[in-house]
Amino acid sequence: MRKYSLSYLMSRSFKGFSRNGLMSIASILILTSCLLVSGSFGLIIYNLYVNLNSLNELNEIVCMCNYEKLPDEQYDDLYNRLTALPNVTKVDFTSREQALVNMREKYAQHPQVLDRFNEENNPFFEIYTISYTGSDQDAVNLLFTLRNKNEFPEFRTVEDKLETANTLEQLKNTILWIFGAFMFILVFISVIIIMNTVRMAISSRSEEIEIMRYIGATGWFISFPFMIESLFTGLVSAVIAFVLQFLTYNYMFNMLSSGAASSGIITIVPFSELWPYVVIGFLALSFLTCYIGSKISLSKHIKV
Amino acid sequence: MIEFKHVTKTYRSSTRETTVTALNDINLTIEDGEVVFLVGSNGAGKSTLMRLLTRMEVPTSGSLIVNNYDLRKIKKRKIPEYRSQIGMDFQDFKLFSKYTVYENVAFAMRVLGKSSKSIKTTVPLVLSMLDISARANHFPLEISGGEQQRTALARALVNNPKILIADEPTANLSPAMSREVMDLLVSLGENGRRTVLIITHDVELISNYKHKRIVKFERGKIVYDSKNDEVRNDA
Repeated sequence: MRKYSLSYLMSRSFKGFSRNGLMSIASILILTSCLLVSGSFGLIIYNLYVNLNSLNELNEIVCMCNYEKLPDEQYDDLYNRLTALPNVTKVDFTSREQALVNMREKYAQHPQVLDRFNEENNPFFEIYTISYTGSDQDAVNLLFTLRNKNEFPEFRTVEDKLETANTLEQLKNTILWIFGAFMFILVFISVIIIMNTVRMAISSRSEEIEIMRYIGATGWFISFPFMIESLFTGLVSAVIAFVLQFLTYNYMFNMLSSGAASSGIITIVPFSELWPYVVIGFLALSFLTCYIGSKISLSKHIKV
Repeated sequence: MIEFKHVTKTYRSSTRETTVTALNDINLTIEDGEVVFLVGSNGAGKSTLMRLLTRMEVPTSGSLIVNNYDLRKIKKRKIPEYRSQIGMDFQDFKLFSKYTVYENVAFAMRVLGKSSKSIKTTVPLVLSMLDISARANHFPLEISGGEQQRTALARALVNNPKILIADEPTANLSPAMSREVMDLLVSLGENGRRTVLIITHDVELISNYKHKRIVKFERGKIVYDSKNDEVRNDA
């Protein structure tokens, strides 16, 4: 059983990496670009996803009361009737005063919009927000019941988000598919790039490999430095891509924060909440592509 | 022992339409500890023979057994182990230009996973044996052709192989240096220490070694195989 010195193998790998010079730099640049494009696309998709989810709670039905204020004795009765309905999980009541406060908070950046309203001319109605579980059919049944004036004469409008929920669900699935396909293409391109880089590294050292074979080197001994070189390329690319991703994301975040995001219309997740996923994603993606690319190339071009 | 039995090696042409027979029905037995000159002109099949012996190629037909390894049936994982028993000395030396003489020789031991301690003990001994200790820290381009050949030989010998194959070892050397190197090669096989196969086309040079065996190849066939002086004169 041969025992190789790890320090010797590692030093051979890094010597090879530096000896490849421009080729190593080129592969780092290309892999970094692929990671950056994947990362940016992934972060955009994630933000889109978060915004779609936060548009509203989709398993909710909003019932607006007929009256500016219900007679006091009806509150408990109405609440009890609503909670007793099948599939209802929660009933929230929002008074017209609270609705005005909520809206003022939401549009704090534009106080002039709601400044002219007060208790006297409050434009909001009292609202019951009903959360439910179950299938689409259960939701339809619940809606049918709530819209039945004989059962719930207190409500002037009953709004559901069933159609929106379905549309958004389809949209989310479509986005995920596009993202998946895009990632697959990028991974494929990266693998091809790594394969070619390793192939070129092998051909530039073909004589050295030939001598090693004659001496009695195992395939593992010959391949190891190429694999480490490749994984090191992946690591360097991941680090550079992470730094660039951090800078570009924060730049975009700051730019959008002073625009649309500041109005509360869209939400942008700060990088501080995302960086662990970006690190894991970049490392996983770069190591995976480098491992697959070099493994294919080594098995194809290095013979014992 | 090296045993070729009806070994034939053919190559397909690049267009795959024709085949070229490099070795044709070779029968040859070389006992352990023999020193053998393999001679022949270009294209006679000497290099193919060398590539078969180092298991870089596989015979198309026939059987080739070396040190009890059947080279047609040997398992892939056993090939490095087999090759570690063979020392190769190349015509163009194939030294690493960025390694010193010492590092070139040590490299052969590192490839086989030898310890640093063993490398530090063995390499100076081999360099001393081949009289190139003074050049240990020089790079190949800083030393003469003869010294490069000695370095290449040191690398081939450092793992103490059972078989040493020298491919045209004097091709790039002056006549005086050629004689010196050839003497050295022949001495490495003295007293049956190891089998030494010397591939060369320099018939004049090997006429100095009257007691050694010569095998002559022509167009992929052995046309002459003898230790007999009289027969060698015919060759």
